[in-house]
Amino acid sequence: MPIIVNLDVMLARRKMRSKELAERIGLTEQNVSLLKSGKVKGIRFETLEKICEVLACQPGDILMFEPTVKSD
Amino acid sequence: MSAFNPRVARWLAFLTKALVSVCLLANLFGWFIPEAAETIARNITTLITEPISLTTRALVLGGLISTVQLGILTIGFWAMAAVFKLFAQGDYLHPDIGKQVQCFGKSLALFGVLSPLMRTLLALVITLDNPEGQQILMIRLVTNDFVIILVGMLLIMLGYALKQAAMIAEENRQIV
Repeated sequence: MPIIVNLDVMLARRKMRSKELAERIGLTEQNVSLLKSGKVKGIRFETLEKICEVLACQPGDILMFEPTVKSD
Repeated sequence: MSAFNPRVARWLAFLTKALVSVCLLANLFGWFIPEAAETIARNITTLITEPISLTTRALVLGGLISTVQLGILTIGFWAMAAVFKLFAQGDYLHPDIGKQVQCFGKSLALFGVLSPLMRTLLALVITLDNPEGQQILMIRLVTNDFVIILVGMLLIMLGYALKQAAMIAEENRQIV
């Protein structure tokens, strides 16, 4: 998928564990783990807002678009 | 919204299966007892005073016709029991609920469509061995058949809606 989730990078920068983030944004650890690995179909604005608030960052710091290169 | 009581749902599943099995077996064995067979045949065809001949051929064919008709309904009621069972498990948006509701709807609609034909066939079968000129070919349409068809069609549509709801719920589960 061309949308890359950089949540693990932001967590490392803020020196925060997934468990703490999960508790503060009200998600289960399992869902945070799925989000980190990009194995989810979507993210709610509400969740994104909470993550940005807790990690003091912008949505663009967490999500990145990387176009797929077509091979001939 | 309060959740459906799982114990009630489990009982309903058991009760549905038990009732439909008893009905099917009673119908099947009823054709082996001449007095019971006459009652069944007259009830289905509504030939109350007309002479009927319950020969071995009539009994076998009659039993076959009424069992096929009831069998169609049995499939539907079995699907209904499956819906109760899924509710008992608390899985209200299981993809199978829509499928089972549609199955029940299809069996009801088919039962409604086939009922006039089955009545005609049964009336013919039980009067086939009457003296010449006393055989009955009857075509009888009952309002109940139309109601059953309409309810069946409604359930097929509701089942489709439930299938779509289950798909949306599954999609929502993958959004955090």
